[in-house]
Amino acid sequence: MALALAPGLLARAVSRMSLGVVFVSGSNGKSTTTHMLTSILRAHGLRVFSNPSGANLPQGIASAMLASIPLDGYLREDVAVLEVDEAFGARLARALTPHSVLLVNIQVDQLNRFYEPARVAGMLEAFARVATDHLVVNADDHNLVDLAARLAEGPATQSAFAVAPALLKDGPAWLARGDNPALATAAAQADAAVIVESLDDASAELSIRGERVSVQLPARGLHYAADAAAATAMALALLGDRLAGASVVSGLASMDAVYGRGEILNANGEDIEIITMKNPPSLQVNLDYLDAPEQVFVAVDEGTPDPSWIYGSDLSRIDHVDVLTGTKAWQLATRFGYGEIPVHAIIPELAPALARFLALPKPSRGTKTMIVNYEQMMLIRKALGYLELEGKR
Amino acid sequence: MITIVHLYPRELGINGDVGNVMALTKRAEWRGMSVRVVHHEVGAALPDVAHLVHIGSGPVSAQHLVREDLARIAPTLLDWAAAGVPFLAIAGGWQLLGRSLVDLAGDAQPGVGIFPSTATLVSTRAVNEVVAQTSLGEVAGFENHGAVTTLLDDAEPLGRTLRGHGNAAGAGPLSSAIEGVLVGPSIGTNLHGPFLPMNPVWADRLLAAAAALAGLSLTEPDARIAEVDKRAANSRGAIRGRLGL
Repeated sequence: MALALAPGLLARAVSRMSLGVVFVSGSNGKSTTTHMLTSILRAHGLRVFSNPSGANLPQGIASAMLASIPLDGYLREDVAVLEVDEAFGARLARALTPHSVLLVNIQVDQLNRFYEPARVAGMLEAFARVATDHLVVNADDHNLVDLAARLAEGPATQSAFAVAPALLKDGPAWLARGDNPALATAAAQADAAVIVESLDDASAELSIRGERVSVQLPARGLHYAADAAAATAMALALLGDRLAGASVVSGLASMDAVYGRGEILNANGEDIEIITMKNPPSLQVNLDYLDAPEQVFVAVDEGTPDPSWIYGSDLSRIDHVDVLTGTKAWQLATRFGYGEIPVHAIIPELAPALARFLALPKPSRGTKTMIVNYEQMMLIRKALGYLELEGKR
Repeated sequence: MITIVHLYPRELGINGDVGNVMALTKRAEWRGMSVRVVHHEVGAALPDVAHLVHIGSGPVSAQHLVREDLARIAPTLLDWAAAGVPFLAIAGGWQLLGRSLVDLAGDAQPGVGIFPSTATLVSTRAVNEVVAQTSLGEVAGFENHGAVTTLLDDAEPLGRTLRGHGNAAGAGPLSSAIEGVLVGPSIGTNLHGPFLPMNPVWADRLLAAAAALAGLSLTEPDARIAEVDKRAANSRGAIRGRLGL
């Protein structure tokens, strides 16, 4: 609705933004990268419009923007940084042309929806093609390197970010290497404007056009360092010589620290960490943070039409499951069986499963941990009395 | 010792088909048999001995990555098949092991020729849960592929769908379609789930053939096998229920 009415309104609203509209897209990390880019630009004194985390579909973006437009029809910000869903970016681009596009990675994701990673490349290309100012891609992702090569004759300047080969080698196989480690194109990193040179817990050293800068990440993890490099590379493209290493540092430092990977919900005064089972790479990153949690709840339903890929996930960080639920519970139970991970209760219906899990005493260390798909998370939030997306109730 | 050769697990691995190898391995180990899994990568030498070969599914881009290597090792694979080594090939991997694969542009490339089938890529994908009747009972899983696969030489299908496009891909009917192929001990199928954990009767049929080649025989299932098989049966039942069968 908003989008149908909006094309003229949106285009006019952003028309006085000196740095224009930036789309941030890709399989994993686009929310974090959008947040980082916004923080870095704000640290440079810029006014930034951005969409709420995860609200990355055209309707949500259009609604958020329309709600912010002053009476005269022009947004006052200098730049709009928008996290955009891969599949819907082209549609949004018809109403709101991106001046610049930042593509973080193309990884195995929602195969029932996307079929295969190469197809996602086509979706991204459809809107990357219209960018007039800057195109920034992950130099370690073969699909994105190919995409950029196809657009080499276009009007946008091109630059890239990368992870140093030594770090990639020791990192999770899939990280920043595109959908398939067999296709790693680390050789391209020599040309990258921003490179993750080293990583020490939650701090990383970036080289920005050769200048070394130490930055603080929201949590430990090479994927956060790659996100920071992506955001810095786009900031560099937008600001050119105005980019200040110190402002990159202060911008990234101003972000809230992330404890654990998941969202924290609260039930009966007790924190519960929720890990979403979005796709293989993001689940693996989340699982790798766990340390044999004492209490584990797993819920998977039709929001994950084919959970087969869970057989390829390394589940060694969990040593049991207390309660398993969802319409796909028996399929997950079969997987846990072959993984020799004991499952104490299999209760396909959510309400009794949740009641059983919440009735467990508070764990002696850590928090109760839930590994759930998005649809189950929304149902659980509702059951716990959460009304909206931002963790409030 | 049973040797399982898993072809190109990195390239042809995005659908969790590694679960087939996991099921075979655990079902052998739980019976007291030891298993060696050889991950065959592009450019590597094949082992001297194989008692079972698995190849998973993957997109066209992944097929391109392994094609040349597959042509290189084809003579050995054909020798193994002729000697009775069972193959399990899933979707994209099955397409490569058939007699030919025709791409969307209409260009045909020869396949390895393990399976008497030919695959033609089409733009209408089949993406849904499947239940099919086979000679060993009902199987269930998930299809997500875009190839019309035709069986040659009156080859025997794995089964016929109660729900699912099967070998006809997305443009064909959603029921009573032919699914998969059976050649001696070998199976080609479009089913994920993965196929063997979801349908253990076929896992044991493959494993029995592999064990026989290794001079072993399959003992009765133990309690661990009984438990995963109960869970698999409930998984199939849930799919059946969702499909209204």
